[in-house]
Amino acid sequence: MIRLKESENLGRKIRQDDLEDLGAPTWTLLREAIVRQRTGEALELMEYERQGLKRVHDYRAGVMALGVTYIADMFGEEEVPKCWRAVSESAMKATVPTGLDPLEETEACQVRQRQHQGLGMIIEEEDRYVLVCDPCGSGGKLRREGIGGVTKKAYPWSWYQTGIPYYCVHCSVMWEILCIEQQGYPLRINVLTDDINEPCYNYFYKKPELIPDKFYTRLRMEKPKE
Amino acid sequence: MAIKQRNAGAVEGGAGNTNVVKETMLADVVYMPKWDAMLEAVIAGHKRIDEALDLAGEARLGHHNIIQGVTVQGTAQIPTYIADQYGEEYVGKFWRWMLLEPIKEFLDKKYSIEEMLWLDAEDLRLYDVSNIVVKEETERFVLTYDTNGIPQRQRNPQICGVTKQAWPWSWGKTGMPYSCAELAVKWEILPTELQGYPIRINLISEAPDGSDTYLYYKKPELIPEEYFTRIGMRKTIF
Repeated sequence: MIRLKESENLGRKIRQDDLEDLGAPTWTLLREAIVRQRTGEALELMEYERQGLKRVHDYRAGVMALGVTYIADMFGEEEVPKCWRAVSESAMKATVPTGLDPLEETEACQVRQRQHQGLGMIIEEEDRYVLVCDPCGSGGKLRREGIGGVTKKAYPWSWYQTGIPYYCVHCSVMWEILCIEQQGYPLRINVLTDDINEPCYNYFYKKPELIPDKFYTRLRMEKPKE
Repeated sequence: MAIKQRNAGAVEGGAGNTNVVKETMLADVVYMPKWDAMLEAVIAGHKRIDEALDLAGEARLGHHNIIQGVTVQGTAQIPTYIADQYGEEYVGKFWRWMLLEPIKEFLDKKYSIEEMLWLDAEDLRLYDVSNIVVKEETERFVLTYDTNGIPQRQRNPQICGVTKQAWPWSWGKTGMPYSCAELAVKWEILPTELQGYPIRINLISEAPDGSDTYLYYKKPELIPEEYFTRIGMRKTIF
């Protein structure tokens, strides 16, 4: 028997099924409830699964954040971008250029935000699309919760800012530095303010030539001549 | 698609503060998973069953992709990077550094075996692991599952490195994925140091396509000595 019930010790609902039912995917139970039009049960299972997925996601993101924090603490924070380069370079080489136009690129990023259970919106401006992540479902959320270390010094890979989470350095390495190396311009530009409660901004310029020089120089890189 | 005018100039660094054209709310554009749309379809009942099922499928796929493709992969790659760059002894040190305080808090909760089974089955379901089977035996509960989902990703040698030497945190084995060391440190080594016995015993398949098993002994004194010695410790509860 399936029993989704409150657990006092855990402080939340959890499936307290008979042993033979513990392996049944909640997705399967949800589909059954939808088909049989047991609306209350379906809604309860949906929320249970959504919260569980968020918990798993956040735990895994935390492991990554703490992994690079450990590297920084033990071996120096200059090692952090090297780690992100090592773990993302082959994937970026395989996928960049993506072949998407800037709006599609913005929407693809928004899909990833949604999968991270982050909140955000797209704003179109004259020269670019802006994805406002409030918070970003991975790094922004970790930052607000104080999980993982932050840069003590200003580096090109931290956009010459201190206080940038080591986790968020992957945005600089993946979406800016590696992309400039591969295709001459960043796939997206990331702006983090000093206020952790502010959103993270992702800029997707409509044409590479519209990207201001400052977004190259802050990485100690040069914008290609037109 | 709902388009709303937005107050100009609210975004830092815009090319021109009067050039905001439109704002599109997240829920209005193409994305997955669409939890809010699914919610509406489920509430609508018989009129939108197919839509609700499609959305549930998309949501499952969307979360599977991000959890397996990004976060699980990342948590396998980073210990691998640590091993490759600084030496694999640091993999065990990293997991200990990361897990000591959380496992102290976990032990303070004094979860029962039943609660552990609920938690672990829930975790495995969320990782889309298949064929989860839980059985009760005289002295213990046994949970088995196929090594797909998270284990499969972490058993991919392109993503996750494996131990070159035998360590207590690799259960004295070579060829164990660095990411699996988390299980040895979290559920066996640290609990044994802190309370004298492991929370659960992890029998990780040496074959990437085999089955993994977790053992939960009903009393600490029933745990065989071998499950202490393989993590470099001694049984003290008889």
